[in-house]
Amino acid sequence: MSGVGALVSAALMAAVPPAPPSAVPAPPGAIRRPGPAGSLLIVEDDHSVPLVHVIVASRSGSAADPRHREGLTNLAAEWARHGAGGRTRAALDEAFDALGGTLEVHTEQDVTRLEGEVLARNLDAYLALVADILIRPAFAPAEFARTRLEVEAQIDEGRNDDRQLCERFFMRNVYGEHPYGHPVDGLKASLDAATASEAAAHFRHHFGGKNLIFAFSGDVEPEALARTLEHTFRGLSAAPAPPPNALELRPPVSLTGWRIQLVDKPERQQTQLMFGHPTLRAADPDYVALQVAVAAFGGRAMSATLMDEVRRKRGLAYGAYLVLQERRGSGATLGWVFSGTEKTVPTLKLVLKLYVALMEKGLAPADVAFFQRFLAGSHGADMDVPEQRLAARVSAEIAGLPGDFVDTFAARVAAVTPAEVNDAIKRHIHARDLAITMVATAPEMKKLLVEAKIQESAIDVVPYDSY
Amino acid sequence: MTNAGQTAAISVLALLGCAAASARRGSTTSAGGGSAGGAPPAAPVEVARAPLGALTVSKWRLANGLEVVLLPDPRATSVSYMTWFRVGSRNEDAKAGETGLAHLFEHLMFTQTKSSEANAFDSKMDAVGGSNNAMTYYDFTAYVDDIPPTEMRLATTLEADRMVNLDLRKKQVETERDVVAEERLASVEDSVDGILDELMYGQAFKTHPYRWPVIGSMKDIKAMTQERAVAFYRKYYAPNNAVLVIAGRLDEAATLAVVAEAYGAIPPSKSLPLDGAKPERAPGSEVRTVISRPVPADRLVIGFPAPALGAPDRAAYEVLNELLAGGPSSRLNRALVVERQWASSVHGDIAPTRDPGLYAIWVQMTKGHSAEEAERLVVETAADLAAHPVAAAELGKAAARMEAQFWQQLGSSHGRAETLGAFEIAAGDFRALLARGGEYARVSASDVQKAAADYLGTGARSVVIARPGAETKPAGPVARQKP
Repeated sequence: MSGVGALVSAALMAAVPPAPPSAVPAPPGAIRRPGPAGSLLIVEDDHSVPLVHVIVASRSGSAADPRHREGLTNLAAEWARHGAGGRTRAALDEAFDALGGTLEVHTEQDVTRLEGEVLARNLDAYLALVADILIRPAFAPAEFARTRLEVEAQIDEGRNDDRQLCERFFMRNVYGEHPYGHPVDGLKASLDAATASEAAAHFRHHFGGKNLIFAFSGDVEPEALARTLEHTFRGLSAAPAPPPNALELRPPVSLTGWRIQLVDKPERQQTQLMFGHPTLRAADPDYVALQVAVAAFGGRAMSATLMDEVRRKRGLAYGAYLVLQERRGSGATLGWVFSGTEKTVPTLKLVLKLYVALMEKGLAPADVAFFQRFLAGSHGADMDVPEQRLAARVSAEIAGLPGDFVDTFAARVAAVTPAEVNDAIKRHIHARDLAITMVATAPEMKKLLVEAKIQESAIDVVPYDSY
Repeated sequence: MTNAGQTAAISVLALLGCAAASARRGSTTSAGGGSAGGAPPAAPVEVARAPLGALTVSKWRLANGLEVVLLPDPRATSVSYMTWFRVGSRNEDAKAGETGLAHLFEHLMFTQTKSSEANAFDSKMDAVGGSNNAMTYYDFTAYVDDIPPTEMRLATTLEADRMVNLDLRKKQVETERDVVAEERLASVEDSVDGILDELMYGQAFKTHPYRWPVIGSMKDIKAMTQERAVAFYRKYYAPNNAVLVIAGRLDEAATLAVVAEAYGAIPPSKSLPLDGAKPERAPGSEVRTVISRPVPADRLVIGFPAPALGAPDRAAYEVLNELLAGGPSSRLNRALVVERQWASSVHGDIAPTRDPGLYAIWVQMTKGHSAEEAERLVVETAADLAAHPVAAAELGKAAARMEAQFWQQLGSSHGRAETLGAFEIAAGDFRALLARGGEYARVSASDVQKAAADYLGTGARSVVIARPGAETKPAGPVARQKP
């Protein structure tokens, strides 16, 4: 055994049978077919509980925000949700609640989802409300101002949560001016600059049928549902889908060295620390192989390198993880660890040393086989719920992955070879060129970093409420 | 597929308002050997059976007192295997400096047993793609294994082994103390909601063990010893103090057979301590604390007295919460967030406790508005609900949302096992859960009015406010302690 694999105990490895994985049931399949107005329809029926989970996803997310209008996509969708079809916001809220229904806006870089669920017996009435939002939004000017204030207040509220705060700054640190770099909910200045007419036009441009995915799971009959959708959404625009933001598909500017950002928040006793770098697109042929590597290094298994070394052996932190973002453009590796102030520097040194070792030495074949089995086996639990499968199917579709990706994920993982995993590591892990963001109390943390021989001029200190 | 942006599965306990529950981690693993031996154990005895939608739940009892709840679903792709022990922070001796022991011990259950090496539980589970975790609450400690359906025997073997054969080492106790200290820093010291929650409970309860935090004080965590942990284990971990809840792709008869094989020979404890906690309706009066923290605007929590999870008026109380702080059209959401824009969010949680607990209303104020403005509005709105019957349409709306939430929590194998287990522990019978689904629609306007008057209209409330500013230590009964 060599490389990072040596960090995993020999006893653990002795218990590992070789890949392929044990017989894990494949998730129930879904129907994919054309939906209303040129959209894609995905349906998985499951009648175990009388609920239907609903996602209407626009293939445009925050990366589609115009420059200096960061947050516009999210703001426009929230505004549309606040009154439609002749109903005021209050009346629309009443109508959803009365059906036992929910509908919320979720915006990410690549996608904006209107997502919720409803008692199955009320699905048709629920869909009529959703159609009103997509086709007949009220776009009342007074509600625009109100919605904007709400979004700004929610951004403020998000600063209470240090992890959320860290991620907000980290994305800018890792992506810079790339469209993935700004917060999905925008900045106060960009939101204040947005006008109601811009928001309405933006919504209509990005929520036409050809840019949408309608996805349903639960207590539905697929054929009847398809007919209902055609009828209910007959006024939906079938205009051509907007092209993706040209900048979105351009690789971000490569990082050089370690870019350290210290987000200064008063009176912290613990540091939230994120590290990572832009890497491959989900549609890259190396994507699954890199997922195996990331699972071995920082996945949720207790045997993964980060958890074993940081938590189990040293008690430096409660958790230490690395994930690979599934994105249409260049996703990022995102490492996350949180340690008490006095433990931050040793923890940072350790995780960076381990990440460099992963890049330079790769994984031993036994490690690859172990985590192939882990990924394939845990896929059953990850996909146990119809709504989990639905979310994964929509996410894969948005990211440009094959239509059968969710259903064949375990087989794809099992098919990867150790050489492919190590090649993927060599090509896509850049442990010496990293964005590192820490939320901590700056004077105290900066002193510790300088004592650890990090040049003071290399540490960018920013107030926690500045972005 | 690991995707940072992917929506996490909704925790049923979170839906139930289990804000104080403390989990070992995001998800994990460990190993062991079988503990059974000797003559074949007696067959489990069926003690209950009831339908849940198109599925069936059954409950069984082994001769040693271990209870087993099974919920098979042929469409599931995994099995959720949960072991619930009837021991939580309520069983700790606070005067002896043992707050947090139940939770710290939960961490230690992943070390080694007499027949397995260190971390074997984790490695054996990881090797098959199992995800495991654990959670400690006031009333219980539960161990969770989400496993491929083919690995039932592995789960029963590992869980039965650590139920009685744990072999604690001093070094591991010390390492886990550090880990739990870090967990507390993240969830309390550096979390405004964590400290508000701790203060709310601490000042509300005067005698009941709900007054100290599940995770324990930092002082007690750091002082925990191997000897105390071993004594706690011997006192509370036994088959007759546990219930297995297993949901997912399983065969009832085959599952019972492997459970009986693994656990059947474990002797019951003959010295389980009696639970001496006397239920307390809390708070008994208005109590309040104001602290300063780096928050953008005032953050407020108000704790009202709440009935236990199994109480007869619990369904009415949950409907009351829905009317006040449930969906977008709930009264407080509309008044505080939408119409006045005094707040950016409001929500309510009713603790799923075995004894009477707290109903917490959380409000995040917007800049320029004080927590006291929101508190006045909450009290006035509650008083209105106590004084006037709710219109049929508004009541029907709340009932529809409650029905949807009821089914939502039962959508996954994990959610089913978690909800059934919570009711077994806190209400004494999983059938209380199945009945609850139908109770919401039968709640009347007068039931809601009575619940509002009985619980919200007495003036008793535990209020904690965090204001923007330099950090201050509370003068109340639960002081922050530096690690």
